[in-house]
Amino acid sequence: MNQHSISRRNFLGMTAGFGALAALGNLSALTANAQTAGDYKALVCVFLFGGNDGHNTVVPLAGGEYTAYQSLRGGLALPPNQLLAINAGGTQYGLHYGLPELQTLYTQGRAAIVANVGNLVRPTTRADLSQVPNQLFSHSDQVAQVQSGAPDGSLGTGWGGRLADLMQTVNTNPDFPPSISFNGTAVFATGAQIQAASLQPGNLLSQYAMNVYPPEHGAARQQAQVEIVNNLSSFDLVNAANRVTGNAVNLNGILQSAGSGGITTQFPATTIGNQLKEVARVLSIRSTVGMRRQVFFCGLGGFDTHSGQSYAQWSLLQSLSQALGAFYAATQELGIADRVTTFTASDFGRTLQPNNSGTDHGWGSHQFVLGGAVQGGAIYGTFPSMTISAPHFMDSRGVLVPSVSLAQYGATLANWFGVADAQLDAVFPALQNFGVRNLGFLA
Amino acid sequence: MTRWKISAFFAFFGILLNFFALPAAAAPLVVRLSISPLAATVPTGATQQFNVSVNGTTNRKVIWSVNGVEGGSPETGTISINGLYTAPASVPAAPTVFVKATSRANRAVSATATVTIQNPLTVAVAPPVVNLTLGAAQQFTATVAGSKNQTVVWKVNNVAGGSAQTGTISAAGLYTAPNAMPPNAIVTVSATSVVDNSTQGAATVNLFNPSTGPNAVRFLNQTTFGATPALKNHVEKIGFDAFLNEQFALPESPYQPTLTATRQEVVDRFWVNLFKGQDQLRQRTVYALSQLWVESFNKNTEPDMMLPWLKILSRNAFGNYRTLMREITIDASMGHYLDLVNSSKPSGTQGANENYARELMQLFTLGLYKLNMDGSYQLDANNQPIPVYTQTDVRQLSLALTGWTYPTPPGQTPGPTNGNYYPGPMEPRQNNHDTTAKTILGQSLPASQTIQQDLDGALDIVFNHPNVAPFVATRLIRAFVTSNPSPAYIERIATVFENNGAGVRGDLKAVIRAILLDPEARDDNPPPGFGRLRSPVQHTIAFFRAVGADFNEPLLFAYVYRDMGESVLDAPTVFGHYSPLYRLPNGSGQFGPEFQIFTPTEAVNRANFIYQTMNENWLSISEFTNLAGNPTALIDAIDQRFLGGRMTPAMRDSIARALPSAQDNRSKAIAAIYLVVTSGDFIVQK
Repeated sequence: MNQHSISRRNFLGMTAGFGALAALGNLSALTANAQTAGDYKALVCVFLFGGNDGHNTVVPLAGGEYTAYQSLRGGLALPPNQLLAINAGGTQYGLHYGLPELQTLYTQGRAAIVANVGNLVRPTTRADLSQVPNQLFSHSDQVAQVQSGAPDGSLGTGWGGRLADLMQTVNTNPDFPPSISFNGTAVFATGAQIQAASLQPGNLLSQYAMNVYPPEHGAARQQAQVEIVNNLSSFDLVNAANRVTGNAVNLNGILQSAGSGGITTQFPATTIGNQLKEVARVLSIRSTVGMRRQVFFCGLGGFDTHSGQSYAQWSLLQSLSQALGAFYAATQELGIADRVTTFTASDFGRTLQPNNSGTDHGWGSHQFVLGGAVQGGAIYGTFPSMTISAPHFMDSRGVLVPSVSLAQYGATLANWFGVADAQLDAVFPALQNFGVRNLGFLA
Repeated sequence: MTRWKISAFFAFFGILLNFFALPAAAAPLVVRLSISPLAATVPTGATQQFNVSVNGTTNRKVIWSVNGVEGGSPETGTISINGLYTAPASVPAAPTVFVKATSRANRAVSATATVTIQNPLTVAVAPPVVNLTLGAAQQFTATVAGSKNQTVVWKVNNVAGGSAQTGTISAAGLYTAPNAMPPNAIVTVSATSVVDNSTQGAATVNLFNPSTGPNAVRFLNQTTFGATPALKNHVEKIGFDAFLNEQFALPESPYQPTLTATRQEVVDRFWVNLFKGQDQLRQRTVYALSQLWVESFNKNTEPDMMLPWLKILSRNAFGNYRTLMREITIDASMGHYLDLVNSSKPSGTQGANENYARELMQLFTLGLYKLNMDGSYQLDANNQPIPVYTQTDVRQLSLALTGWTYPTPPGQTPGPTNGNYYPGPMEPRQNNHDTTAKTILGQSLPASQTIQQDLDGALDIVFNHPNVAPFVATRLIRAFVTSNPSPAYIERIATVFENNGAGVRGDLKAVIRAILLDPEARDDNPPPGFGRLRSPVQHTIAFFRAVGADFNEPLLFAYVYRDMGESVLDAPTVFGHYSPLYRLPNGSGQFGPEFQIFTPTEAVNRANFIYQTMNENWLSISEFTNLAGNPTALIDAIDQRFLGGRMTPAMRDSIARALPSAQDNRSKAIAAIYLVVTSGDFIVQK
């Protein structure tokens, strides 16, 4: 039996007793954090769909390493004068020129980089690839695995949703969704117990049919709809569909009372800007709706740059950086910059060697963590040398074998969120295979 | 003279030979042979042991022959040195042959037995599969081979004469279906030979509810974009099977010429074809295939990059899956969408593009894990699913597919690789093709093949993989009928995919017919997991069709579907708008792919759109408004039109309470329709 199946089985065994774990989570969270009225934390995942090319997101600038990068990257190599310089422990790196806001936040110590992080079953190098996640280079699988936090992606829940499960009893309002996706339904946000919601910027879930004159007629319609969706059907799918509509009616009431949140920060009117703006609005009503732990999911697509990468990645990273900059400013405005931690994730990285004008599917990649609690201005993990024969490259195309696992990355975030160390293995089934359980990028 | 009499005559003759042999070997000892049995009837391919007793000599050896040929022959049957006779594979022109044992001690002495070769006893029942409505009758015939006696005993589910529950059958083979559906809608009719009661033939009867009322509505909701009163009347009149035949024969709803349409016009045409194309079943299939073989305006931004793909889906909707695979694989639109175009043999640091090779296997044909025919995962010793292909397979397949470039635009000279041009199939460039030997899914392609040989060889390997049948069967069942088919349903359809009954693999028409006429699809009392959530396009179109809406102008509202999670022809990734593996958000483990884009937000956006359209001038609800003075009549009419007459009493009561008498009739009609059309009972096709 391999470790892979051990960890999966242990996990499944634990989910069976999830209620007990959730109760334990509540207890230890209370003890650990000595709950106060001001206690609040939120995790915001920004998922870069398609597999962001980390090799051109953070580039080594130190002499020999840059030259090696340039020769391996060929036509896709970014020239030094286009890179935004940052310092990590005395070594120079360059951020992609689309990331000026992140450069500023990094320099201010509010953003950190986690180098070569990825989905792993256990510590792995090129010398032994016998236990690696299933279907490493498949988008749908890696999205499912990275979001579910399980190297085989076979769990129906996501690690964001499971963190929300563990912390849900801290929240005083059971009707408000503790896990919200602003990018359609997302596995990341789906819990075993909590009801995740998907919301759209600006949409308060009002039904036009109920807004008629006189109001009693609208109320009668609404009453009838609630009755209909609460009737039990003999068809499971009918019940599931009715439950969605029932939740919509409940959420409508809550969102209508939210207002604009009083945020004056201007967000860019982009896909990711609109989503993060909506996260900030929901953050603004956290006390009103009785929330102390919330998980959010946002997404930006288009990173699958098999061709035409130079323009496409610039355009996407620029959009990302502008939105993250505005979002951090909004959390400062709300006075909770140190209570909100934002982080990126992606399907996988990409090959160091380009195909023609693009790159193919890889594995490990670099991610950003952002927020007032972040021990920023540093690179965590081991930044990979640009030596194609080094053991951190899986093959001659320059697929990075991650040196830090997604489980370690997530566990560090989860620990900050309030989940006790003993519960982390239930959220991240592969964590037990790694010695370091906290990467230290959060205070 | 009958065959039996011939045998008897020669048996007698054999004894005579023995008798006359006596005086010829008078001294010192008389050699005598006797053979048993003296006569035998042996089915083709079967064996018969002959024994010989030798008296009057110590040399007991004999020579065995058939029709005078030592050891026999393939035509007359063979015989071993120990007397084991094996009948030929088919009955010879002269069905009686002679097995002779000749003494080695005295070759003048022999004994002969006669063998009559006949076909083995079998019973065949025709027709082998019948779809039968409850109460209807079907004449079966039994053909007994290998015996003159054609008499059989007819049984239903192994009970002679059948029963009231499963249907009865007369001594002449006339089966009459029961009037009520038995627990299992699949019934076996068998005929047993009276010659040998272990020999029988069987036929399968799929029992259907009559193609009337709610059953007609269910059938139409599976085969079209929504039942209408006119189609319901039609199906009630001609039945399910004839309706399918009509649909299969209808001409395709057309698309625009590839080079002149705008993107908006393409989206509108696609939508209008789904909405009111006469070829509703083809449109339903095109819609299903568009979610399986995804291309999207998201990357293929221009109409000439999407129309070729739509035309391939439409043209091949009732064709063969292998043809569809080839046409899409080398179409320039897919070449662009998944980067196969200008993917060349490895050179320097540049490898072949793996994107299409991977998705071809993962998303279009095989899935991720080895499947059984019933769609379940094969498991390894650790109870883990077994990946169906490896990264090496992806790389090898990508090499086999190298060397294709864009078509040459009219009037231009073909280049080593052409620039972007989309109409038509890609062109081969042998110089850019990798000619090494490849191994894909355990099958080999030899070195030095042409680009086309590698293409067809690679596609054959994928197409003939055992995963394809259960993979495609499961996808299409989910698209047409139910998100949670039984394993047996999947296996029945996968079996048809593997062989349409005429030895053809991948016949989509046969597969679609089997899906829609399967007893599980036609079950009038389906299990709790039955049905599928209508996608936003299906939900809204079903509403429009039910109320008889029509459009004479370009729609220009296809954009509203983006806010319902289904930007028309604009899926965010090659995985489409939702995963076929998405499970219901209730922890039950049941599948509900369309629920991935049905959260509170999308539910409200669907409802609001439907509500708004009730105020459009192209949609009239006046027939319902006219009934609204009588709430019971209004609710009855809505029940019939939208729910096939199956509204629950509780829903009736709730709607009645939502129609205050002070409200005007139009508002009442709108309220009642809205509450039904946004309820799970309408959104779920069941």
